[in-house]
Amino acid sequence: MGKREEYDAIVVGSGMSGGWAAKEITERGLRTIVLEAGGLVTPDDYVMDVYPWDLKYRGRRERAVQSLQRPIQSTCYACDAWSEKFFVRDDENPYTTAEGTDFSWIRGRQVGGRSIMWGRHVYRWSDLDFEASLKDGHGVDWPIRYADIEPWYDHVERFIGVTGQAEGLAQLPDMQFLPPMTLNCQEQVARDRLTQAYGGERLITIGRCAVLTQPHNGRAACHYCGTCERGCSTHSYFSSLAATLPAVVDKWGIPALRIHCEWSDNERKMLQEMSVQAAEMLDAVGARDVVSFVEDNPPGLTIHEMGTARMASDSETSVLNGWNQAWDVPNLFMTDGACMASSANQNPSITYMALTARAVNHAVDLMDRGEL
Amino acid sequence: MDRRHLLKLLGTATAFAGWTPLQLEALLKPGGTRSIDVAFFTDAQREAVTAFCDLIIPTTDTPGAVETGVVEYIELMVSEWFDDGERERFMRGLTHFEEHTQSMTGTSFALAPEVRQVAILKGLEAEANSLRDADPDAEEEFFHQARGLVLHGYYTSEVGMKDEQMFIERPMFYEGDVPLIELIRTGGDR
Ligand SMILES: Cc1cc2nc3c(=O)[nH]c(=O)nc-3n(C[C@H](O)[C@H](O)[C@H](O)COP(=O)(O)OP(=O)(O)OC[C@H]3O[C@@H](n4cnc5c(N)ncnc54)[C@H](O)[C@@H]3O)c2cc1C
Ligand code: SF4
Repeated sequence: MGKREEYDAIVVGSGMSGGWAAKEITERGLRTIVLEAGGLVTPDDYVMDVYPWDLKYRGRRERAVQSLQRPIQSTCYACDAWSEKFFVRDDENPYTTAEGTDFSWIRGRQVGGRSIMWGRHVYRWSDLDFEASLKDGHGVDWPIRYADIEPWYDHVERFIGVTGQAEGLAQLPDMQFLPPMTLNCQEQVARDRLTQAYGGERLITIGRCAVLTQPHNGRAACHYCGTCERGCSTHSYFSSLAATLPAVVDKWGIPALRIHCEWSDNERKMLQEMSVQAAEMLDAVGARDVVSFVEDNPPGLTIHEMGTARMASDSETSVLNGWNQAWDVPNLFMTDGACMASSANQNPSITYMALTARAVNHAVDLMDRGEL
Repeated sequence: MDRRHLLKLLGTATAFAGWTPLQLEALLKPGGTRSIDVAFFTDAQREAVTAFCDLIIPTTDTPGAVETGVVEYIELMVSEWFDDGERERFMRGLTHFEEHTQSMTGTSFALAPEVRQVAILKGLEAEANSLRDADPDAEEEFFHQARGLVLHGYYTSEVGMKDEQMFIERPMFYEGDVPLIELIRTGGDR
């Protein structure tokens, strides 16, 4: 055994949430260690410059190997011949599901976690979402509201860099935007027609993404090669590796999970309704031969897993308080998707990042006051 | 495909006439890997595939499918990448294709005059299309399999991507709304 090291804080995992935790804690001057189960990703692992003709099957994966090693991961759109190494091997990372149910658990085990191959779409939640469980009567009420997280969204967005168009929408609050990418000419026509058809009630806006449209915080602007899942050597999209991580690595093993998750009638009906609304909007902008469909994917495949250790203002119905602090273990903070009291249509990671930064700063404040 | 199914087919049809031992072995050993160093097609099969490729993407003022290695690519994909069912369908389709050409023209596809070749391909395409229209979930017919391989092989080759498409070297750019005429004039350079 080497010399015994002591730390003020331990961060478990170096993905989207862990990277933010590590950054915030070290900036507050605490001695911090990051425990990461996966290996390092080096610039050589980024394969955005490898072309199909460089690969044996021209970008198609070896199917026998794939069905053995990544039968679940390979159902994810982003797991291809180039990027599959950023996804766990299913044969080495097993889990089970409750009988008769299915769950596609898409994971990345490496420094940076899934921030390496995420889709980079970021949308703020609003009070429509933080009040949704209360109004619908599903689950428990969120212990926080938009006002609690708003300054932390600002804080995170200023650091990571988000491209998008300010629209002043109540359901998708504006963010700290870098210049937007432009809608293409077809999209501009569709935007105008949709606005007209719905009297301004519906809107097409350019995607909001953690991609740099201009140099930002020492990272270069995007050069639009378009193969982001394969890594980005210019660090033009946000990943823990590119931006938040001071990088300390260790290894750990975990017990296998048994996952219980099923779609309910409510979700199925929402899917149907989305398909109807999408077709109606396409019709309204003048599209012809619109074919609507509903994809019946197993839970998990959207890779927005949330809940299991939710937050609420009451320890009877939740694991965490409104600061992501475990009721039972005061010096344990869980700031990833586990804390979410409900889900929303927005991609969640920006909210995890904002909650993480908020929780960490609260924890360090408590420590400073001698209360933790 | 399972062994019993294959043996039944062997017993009842001449579908496998002219197949090499390697091809039959490939069918008998599901998931067995084959080395690409070993030729998979017979010479006659390769000639038929070559002629097929040449008609789908001929050489013009730019290189065609054959010159860009599409025949080798098809041989690799059929022998290694296809699953057993796909491989069986392709090989049976190829055999049928040759037999059909013989009966129509009295010679092999590779040696048939171009007008006859085109007519045969058109017939095959119409047949495959109508089968697909009747059942969109049906497994791909030989013609669609083969044409798909030609297109994929060609447009993922360096020549196919760089010379035939508007290939822009990194760093690239994004402007959502550019007059097409400007792009064509500059070959994508801005
Ligand atoms: C293809 C794809 C597209 C996506 N698109 C979007 C999108 O557009 N927008 C969006 O908001 N989200 C998107 N996501 C989801 C997003 O990636 C996740 O929400 C986010 O990464 C979750 O952050 P996390 O820190 O909780 O987990 P991760 O980023 O997965 O990080 C977890 C880390 O913990 C490590 N780890 C695991 N177990 C242990 C252990 N026992 N000990 C130590 N370390 C451990 C892992 O190796 C990993 O590094 C996408 C995900 C994928 C895969
Ligand atoms: S962020 Fe831009 S430069 Fe980086 S991989 Fe994606 S498209 Fe390419």
